Order: sequence, then structure tokens, then C-alpha cells
Amino acid sequence: MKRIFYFFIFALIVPLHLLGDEETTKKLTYGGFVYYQFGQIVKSEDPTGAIGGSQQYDKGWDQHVNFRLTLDAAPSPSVRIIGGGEFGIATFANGHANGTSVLTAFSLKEAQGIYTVGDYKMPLFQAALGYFPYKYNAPANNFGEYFFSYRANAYSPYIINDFDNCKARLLGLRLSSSVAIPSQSFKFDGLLTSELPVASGVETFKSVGDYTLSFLVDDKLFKCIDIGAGISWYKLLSLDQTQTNPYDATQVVDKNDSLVLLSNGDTLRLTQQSTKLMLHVSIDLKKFLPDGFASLLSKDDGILYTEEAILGLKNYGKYYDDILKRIPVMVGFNVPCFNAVDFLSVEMEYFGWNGSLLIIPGNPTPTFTDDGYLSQQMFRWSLFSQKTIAKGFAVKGIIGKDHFRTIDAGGSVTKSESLRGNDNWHYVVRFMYSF
Amino acid sequence: MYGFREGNYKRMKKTIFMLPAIFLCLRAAFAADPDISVTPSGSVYYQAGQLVNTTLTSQDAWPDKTWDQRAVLKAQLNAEIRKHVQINVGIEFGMLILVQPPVTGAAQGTTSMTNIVDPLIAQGAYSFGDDSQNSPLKIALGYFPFKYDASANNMGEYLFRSGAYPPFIINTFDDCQARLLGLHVSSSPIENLNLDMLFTNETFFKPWGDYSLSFVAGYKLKNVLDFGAGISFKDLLSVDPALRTPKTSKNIIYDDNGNVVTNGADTSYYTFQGTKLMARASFDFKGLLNSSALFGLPMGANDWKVYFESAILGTTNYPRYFENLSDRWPVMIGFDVPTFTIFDVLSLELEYCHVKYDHYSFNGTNPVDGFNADSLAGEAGFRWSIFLNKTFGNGIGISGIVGKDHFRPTFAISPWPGIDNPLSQGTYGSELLMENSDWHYALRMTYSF
Repeated sequence: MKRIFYFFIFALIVPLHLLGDEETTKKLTYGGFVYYQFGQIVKSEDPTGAIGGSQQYDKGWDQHVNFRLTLDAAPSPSVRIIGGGEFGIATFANGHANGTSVLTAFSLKEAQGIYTVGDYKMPLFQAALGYFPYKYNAPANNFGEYFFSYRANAYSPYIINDFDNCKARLLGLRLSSSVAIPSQSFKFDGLLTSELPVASGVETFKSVGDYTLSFLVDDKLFKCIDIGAGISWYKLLSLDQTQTNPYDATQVVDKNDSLVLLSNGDTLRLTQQSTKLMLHVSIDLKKFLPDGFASLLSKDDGILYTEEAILGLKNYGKYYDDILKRIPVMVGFNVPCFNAVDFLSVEMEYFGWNGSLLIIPGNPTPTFTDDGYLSQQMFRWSLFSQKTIAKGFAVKGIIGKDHFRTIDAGGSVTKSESLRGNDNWHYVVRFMYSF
Repeated sequence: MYGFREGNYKRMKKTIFMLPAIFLCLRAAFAADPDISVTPSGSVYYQAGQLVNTTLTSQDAWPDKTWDQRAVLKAQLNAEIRKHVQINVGIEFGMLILVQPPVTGAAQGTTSMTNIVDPLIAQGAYSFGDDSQNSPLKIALGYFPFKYDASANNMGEYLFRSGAYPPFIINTFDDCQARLLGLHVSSSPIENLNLDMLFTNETFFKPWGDYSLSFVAGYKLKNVLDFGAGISFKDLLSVDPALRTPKTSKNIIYDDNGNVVTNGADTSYYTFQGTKLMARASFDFKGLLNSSALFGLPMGANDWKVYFESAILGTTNYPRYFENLSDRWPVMIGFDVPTFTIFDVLSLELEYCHVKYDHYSFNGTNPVDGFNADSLAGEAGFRWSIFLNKTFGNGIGISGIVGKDHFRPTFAISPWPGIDNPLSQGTYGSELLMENSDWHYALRMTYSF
């Protein structure tokens, strides 16, 4: 793997500095980052790693060194091509026998072509095709972004948080359009995306590849209020029904444990397919402050934001009997720091799901076994902060009880959570140089 | 998360790593030289396709309706120094997703996703003369694509996309060329005549590491006729003769009476080594017209072309498995259907190669591993494909294919690493389109610069 890394360096990075030709410089730019990160699960529900593995022991030390390079080409004013990959090394050590491991990996992070009519950031029409990052809730720093399966799912539920990566990565087609008028801008996105595995170590809801259709709208008002909503038909287009809706999926029973029958007499079975709704709102409270006071604050200070989603509109018998239990609610606030740091966000989440969130399952059947954490897992919290030390160099950190999952060097989260108990928490610190 | 095949990489590492170092030295030497230009190029594409019908015998691994989609990034840097030295390096990254319906006896299908990193090109070249594009002599070294038949869009290019013993043929969607490692000397001593000599090292097919010597010639007669021929001495120099001609009990040559064939006192064994011949021709009807339009409709650059290629994959016959030259003699004919610039290319290609023993199960340990008397021989001989390509400008293009060709599923972006992937012996390197009713399709959308 090291040799691939060196080849990558020599083949692309070193010659890039030779792009002295002005015409070439206009067409191709590059960027990326290098970071060193360490973190620790201070107290978890899985102190011996029996479920999550040796990477999730209490006090286990987790280090990452990652390097990403992104190339951005603009062969014409209306076309842009962005591609990038990331190489990482991860080490885990927990002081227990056989409790250390080292992972190295390379992964593709972006490969998309974008065609734009109009302004790139506020296009009249824009079409993107490929593999791309997507974020619809700008203020959300850790929780939220529930809309795509990359972050949350309906049947059966899971939520994923990934430090400093509060977005989804999607494969497929995005069509966008926007309109800007004084005091308001409106944006519409339509996406047809192919489902990807969301965690390593899991077959991840067989039927990776199925297509999901999603629509999102976003309205910015008076430069201080941002309201957005979306609807998503998860796995609307199935490539293989035996995987999307397996015949051996759990039969749905009602509260009396009687089979729920379809109109044709067949028994109703659980499915991965679902319809999700999402709403997010943010308010920049600085706009309501006197100008003199507001100027003392950084641009991210004083933003209050929230996001809610319905993870599956449809109830299925006793397994999914209450839609309110499938609505995660996130509230966040960027505490004013008067430029001491770039931002300090406090976020809280309530998710009333009464089944286990321990492991990302491989099928739509939920687990209701009470391992003592079902009632404790509903509330989550995190503090996330960033401080730019010098141009391109920043320090970021998080502390909290969130849906933390250890990640491998390639950036894939593992299948199990470990912070569900009331006294569980972890922290991560990252030193990053961006260019 | 990465899927780079370690075996292939080891074989190419010296050449690939040498070239950037050469590049850096040259850069240092000509640091202030204004005659150095570096041009980036690359592309991103999204592709989706399906194996609609496959041979029954492959249902255990690759069932009908298998869905294949991928997102790929290709990045390349092309440097030219004082118009004589060219250095090209490139890499491709991608993710490949396969969705497979249930195999025989299973209730549920499977899905998989693989991240891939592969070298695209890594070569240095020196061109004599003032024009590097039309150089009287050019010497290149490294890992590079090579295409001798400009007309072929899917089938053909047999000289390097095939094996002799056993005979097999490779097709790659929208990549009708070979990828070679070694030395390439090309010359255009007179206008319209191209001569190529290649001394290449085998990186994808067993026996790895052996050197082949090949000669290819091509001539264009005005704008009407383009013909050429080639010869390749496959595995001429062996790094391990025991691998080129395995002396194992399974590899002994028996005659039709079951007697061991001997060479003097020695037992004869099948060998991977062989000599391949190739001939091709293309005829462009537009060259006979003194107009770029027909009946008032504009003609595309590729319209109205008929092309042909044939090859002999191993000139020597061996008893039992390789006793008929006709079993190793593919013939391809293609026609670029006139679309009057609606498409850049719409080609229909047909191929026939008599099949006695199957081409689809190639194990690779010795030349006859995996051979079965092929009950599908009659149907497997004929292949067809329809290929289209359209570039919209601004670097956006689409391409598509439908057909029954030598499609091979792999976990690689192209079959080149996968055909002999140690993880795919016998199954994933197999052809899947053998019966008349077998076919597949794929559609690709590309942004390139």
C-alpha cells in the first residue's frame, strides 16, 4: 500500500507544481489536505469490545493519518470535473492483549462531472453525474443530515455520525436549479442515486445498487433564515427483488401477533424500501443584534438550527407501530465565541426509537431485546469546535455521546455503535493542513 | 478498501517507478527551460450495464440480469520537453458495484462493491525529428496503451488481446486497445506507412514476466484503404521455462490413440509459447467521394467504413487440444453505419472463431487447464456487437454497447488485471456469452478534459 501511495505522490502531486503554463493553470487546480487525528472512547457500553471488536475497548486509543488529493478541471466555462482520492493509515491500541491493529487503505472520495447553465453556485440548471459529496444542512456539524442512507435509515433504523464529515456521499445523478431574488434565494435538487454500502464489515442491506429518488428544496430568506425540506423514496428502483424484498424477510404481525395479510392473501413482509421526509431550519440570530455587537462575532456564531426527519412513513405491524418513534430531532446552536475559535457548536439529538441501535443490521427486522440501553440511547449530545491557527492549518475537536463508530483508514464506519449509555462519551482531536 | 492487484503491480513496479524519477531529473535539468510543457488530461465516467442472458454453466457465479455499475476517475499528466521527450503518467480510480440475482438454488442474490486503483499509463518516449506527432522514429519505454487498428471499436485487436495456447480473446467496452509493458519502437519512414516493433513483458497472462517480440505494419492508401499486418512471437524469452512449458502430468501431449507424444526421447508438453499472425484492412467509402456530404446530409468522420481483421492465434498445431488451425482463427468484420453526424460512431461488428474447446474457462496453470469438450461450440463461434459513441462538446460524451462478445466479468475497471486475477481462477475470468441468446449491454456517460 505504501508503494501505491508513493506512486500516487510521484505520478500526480510532484508534476502538478510544474503547471506553469497559464492556460493549463486556468483549467486544472488541485487541493486537498493532510491530517493527524487522535481520539479515545472514554466510556462505552462495550468495554471489552465483545460487540464492536478490539477497536472499541474503553480508553482505546485511535489514531489516523490521512492524505487527500482532489483535482478540479474546468475544460470549459460550463463543465467542471472533480476527482479525488484519499489514503489513510489508522492505528488502534487499547492496552489489552491482541488489542492493537493497523489499517491502511485507499479510497475514491469524489469522481463527478458537472454541467452548469448560469452561475456555478446559483445555477439556472446544473447536472452532476458520478460520485460526489452532498450536504443540504449547512450549519449541522455532527448530528443531522438524516435524509440519505449514508447517515440514517428507516427499516430497520440506524443513524451514523462521522467526525468532521457531516454529509453524505452519493453515487448517481443530481439535477439542480435555483432562483435568486432580493432577500430570497430558492434552490431545488432532484437526485437519482445508487445505494452504496454504508459500513465496513456488513453486507449492508443487500441490494446495494438499488436506486433512490429524492427531491429537496431550500429557501433562504432575508439572509438569516434557511428553511429546507425533502422527500426520498429509498430503493424505489430495485435491481434484484430477492435482495430488496427478500422472501424470507420477517412476516409482519400485529400487536396480537396475528399475521398481517395483503389483499391477495399473501402475508405482508418487512421491506427495505421506505419513504423519508426531512425538514431543517436555521436562524442566524446575529441579524437581530445591533451592528456594533454583531461585528464582534464570527460568521458562524449565533446560528440556531434544527433538523427533523421521518425515517419511514409507513407502519408495519408491531415492529414499526409508531411513526413518532422514527423521528430523530436535532437541535444545535453555535455558541458565540467572539472569534476565539471559528465556531463552537452544541448539538443535541432525541431519537425515540425503542429498538436496538447497536448494530447496523443486514435486514429490515428490528431488534427489541433490552440490553439495558434502549431507554438511555434516546438522548445524544456533542460539542464540536474548530480553530484556524494559520492559513490552511486548523485544529478541530469533538466531545460527546453521539452515534460514534470507529472508522477504518479508508473512511468507512464500522457496524456497531458503542456510546448508548448515559455516562458514555468520547473525544477526537484533529490537526489538519489544507491546501 | 482498495482493490489493486498486488501481483500485477509487482510486475510493473520497476518501470512505473523509474519513469517519474526520470521525469524529475529531466525537470531539474531543464528547470528554467521554456520548452517544457505539461498538459493534464483526464475523465470521469459513470457506467451502468447488465448481463442480460448468460450461459447456463455460469449460473452458479454470474446469473442472468447481473447489474454492473461503476464510477471511475482517470487522471493523466503529459509532459513534452523540447519537442523530443514525452512523458506520460496516469492513474485511474474507481468503484465497482455488482448486483447479482440469486444463483441456482439460492433464495437471495448478492451485492458487492470494490474500490479499484490501477495504473493507466507510465511511459517515457523520445521522438526524433521536428514533429513529435509524425516522428520518423520514436522510442518509448514503460506501460502504455497500444492500438493498431483505428477502425475497430470492440472486437479485433487480436494480436495482443488474445492468447494462443489456450486461445482466448478479450473485449473491453469502450477501450478497444491493449495495455503493454515494455519497449515500443515506432517509425514512419515514408508518409502513411507505420512500422512498430514491440518488446513487451507479460503482466496479465501466465506465464508472467515472459518477453514477447512483435512487429506490426500499417499503410494508408489515400483516404480510402488502410491495411496492415503483424506477427507476434509470444513468450519468446522466458524468465522461467518451467512455467512457460509446465512439465506436469496434466500437461503431457497425448495423441488421439492415447499415446504420449515424444520429441526424440523426451515427453512432449503443451506450451504457452506461440506465434500469432494478424492481418487487417479497412475501406472508407467516403474516400471515393469528393464531398463531405451525401444527398445533402453531412457525413461523419467514421461513416461508411467497412473493416476487417483476422488472426491466427498460434501457428503450430498440437495433438488433441490444438490440432486444428481453424480453432484458433478469429475473423472479424465491421461496418460503421452512416448516422450523418447524429452519432460519432455507430458500428456493427461480427466475429467468427470456430470453437472446439471452450474459451471461457481459463485457469492458467498450464495451457490445457480447464478445457472441456464444449457442447456450445456451434453457438459460441459467432459473436456480434453494436457500439455507439457521441461527443457533445465541452468534454461530455456518451457511449454504449449491446452484444454478445467476449465479455468477462471481473472486479476490475477493465478486464486486464482481472483476466488472471488470482482471486478469479476459472470463474471470474470466464467468458459468459456463449449461447445465441446470450447478450449484455452497457451505457457510459463521460466528462473528459
